Amino acid sequence: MTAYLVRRLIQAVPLLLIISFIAFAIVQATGDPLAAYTVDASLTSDDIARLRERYGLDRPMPLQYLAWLGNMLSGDWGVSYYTRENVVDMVLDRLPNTLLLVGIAYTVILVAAAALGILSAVRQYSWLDHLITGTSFVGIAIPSFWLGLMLIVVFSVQFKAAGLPYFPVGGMYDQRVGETLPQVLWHAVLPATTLAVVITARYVRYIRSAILEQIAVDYVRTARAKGLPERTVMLRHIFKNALLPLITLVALDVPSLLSGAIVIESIFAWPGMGRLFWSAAERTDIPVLMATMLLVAVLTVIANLVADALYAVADPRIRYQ
Amino acid sequence: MSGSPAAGFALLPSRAREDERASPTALRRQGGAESMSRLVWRRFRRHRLALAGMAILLALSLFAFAVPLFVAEDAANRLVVTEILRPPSVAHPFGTDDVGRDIFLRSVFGGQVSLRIGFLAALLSVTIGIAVGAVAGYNLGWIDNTLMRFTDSLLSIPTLFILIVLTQVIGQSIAVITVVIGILSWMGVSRLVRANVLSLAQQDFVLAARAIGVGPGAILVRHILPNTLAPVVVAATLGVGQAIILEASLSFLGLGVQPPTATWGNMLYRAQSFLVTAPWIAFFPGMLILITVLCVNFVGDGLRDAFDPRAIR
Repeated sequence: MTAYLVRRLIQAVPLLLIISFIAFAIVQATGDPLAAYTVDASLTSDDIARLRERYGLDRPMPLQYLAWLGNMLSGDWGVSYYTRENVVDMVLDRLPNTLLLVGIAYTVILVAAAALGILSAVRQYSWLDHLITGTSFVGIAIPSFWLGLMLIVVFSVQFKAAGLPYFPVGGMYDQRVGETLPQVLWHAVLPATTLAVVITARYVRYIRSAILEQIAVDYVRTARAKGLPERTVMLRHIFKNALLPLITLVALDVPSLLSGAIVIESIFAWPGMGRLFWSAAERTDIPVLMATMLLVAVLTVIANLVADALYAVADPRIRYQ
Repeated sequence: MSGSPAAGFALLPSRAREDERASPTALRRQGGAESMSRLVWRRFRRHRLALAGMAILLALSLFAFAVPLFVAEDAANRLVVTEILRPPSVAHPFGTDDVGRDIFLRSVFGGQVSLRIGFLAALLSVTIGIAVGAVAGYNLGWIDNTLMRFTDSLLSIPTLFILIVLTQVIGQSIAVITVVIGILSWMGVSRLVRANVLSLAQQDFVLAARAIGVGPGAILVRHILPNTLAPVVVAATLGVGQAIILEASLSFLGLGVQPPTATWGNMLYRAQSFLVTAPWIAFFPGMLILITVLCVNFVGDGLRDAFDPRAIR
């Protein structure tokens, strides 16, 4: 098991190298980082050539990549072209906020999807099943940014107008109260829900069909034949097998959740990586763009590794050599 | 049955018989083709939601492509200072936005752009996906390895991140956004096709075709690929919905198709500032995206059931 994980970790290295090279090549093409200086009359073309040389921008792209990679590995991620802040600090500042949001969203997804999926499978073809299945069809098709806006209209705007307790429209905490846990959780309700809905809806359909598939399988008949109560058959036999592939699904959906975070964080003014990336993209802030893209790729690769390890722990049939 | 060429070799005496049945596609060309598509259509019609979805999609497309024949696009982009932030009424069925443009007309023109991007991007992504998947699955070894590592790498960077950077690089025209979305969403299809090609390449009819001297290219194009069409058609259909949502997300962030051209996404760009005073600005374009994607998914589900060989119907 340990050997397998170590091997997977080593395999992840070339993957990350390819990703970083693709990202570097694309980001480099976003434009000349010195473009702003060429219109500055106080700088001669000699000055710009010197700047170019100083930042290594006159060298061929693969060499620039290697230089960048070396800096990256030694912890020097550069300085933002706009705020002059250290990129490592900027990213480390935002990363926990995104992880918190995504973490809450995943908790919501797993609890809600398991409950609704199981309910709708156990009561197959009842009105409850039809309601859950219908709603999940809508949930899969809903654009998450629009859902976010509509949730704001209902739970912030209308609730406030009706004098009910209402959810905040943005930020992580109320400035007057400070960054306390209840505050942050209260502010996370709408963004996390928005982020969770589409994936929850997909999982509900997946869990429902997975359970229904298991019901007709031999080992379930055996379990029933030896007189186990229906409850035990469901909990100990069916669920275990039906929910197992969820581990892989969860890992595969990390990139789409992080993509979602760009949109959701910008709607709800959540100070995370997605919002940082968005503002960096608007201003072509290359060091910040590179750092966020890479971190997001690393997170994805780590999630896949963890999923493989968990799968091996959860499913005794799998033995890795 | 034969799982590998070696096993097929052991079945030499049956070669003549295998020749006769050759490939299912060859049989279909001899007059069975219609019955296959008719079978799929017959099963598809039973899927009432899929039929309804298709009808609504047709109606929406008709609207988006026919109305512009009678109304100039200027009408949708005209700013009317006296008609700012009007709620829905008879004159403006969807209301007006913060600069007095008619949201109904903008939804029609924006719908045309969104639908076009959705369909063309999905078409492109499926084409790339089939090409990459087929080449990888049929050329095992370093070609397959390189292509699949590249696919994995692309899958590890969340789509919206690369999409945003790429459109910043290349430009934000409708054509560029369509192509970039297509280029970023083929990975699922290519994996699907590769897996299918891998398993089909071991089948007896492929062995038979090779035995009678059909070249590798012809085997791939005429025998293997037609047999992997069904899942690809389903994936392509669902891809249309994903492409529409992707474009909308990009334009919603203000990084996609630029005004005055309307798309369902960029109509929502400034809507957030008016959620209190004019929620209808946000409501209608988003609702149209939801309806379109919902219908596309229903059609995809209907197709999946219709193609399913395990279905008894």
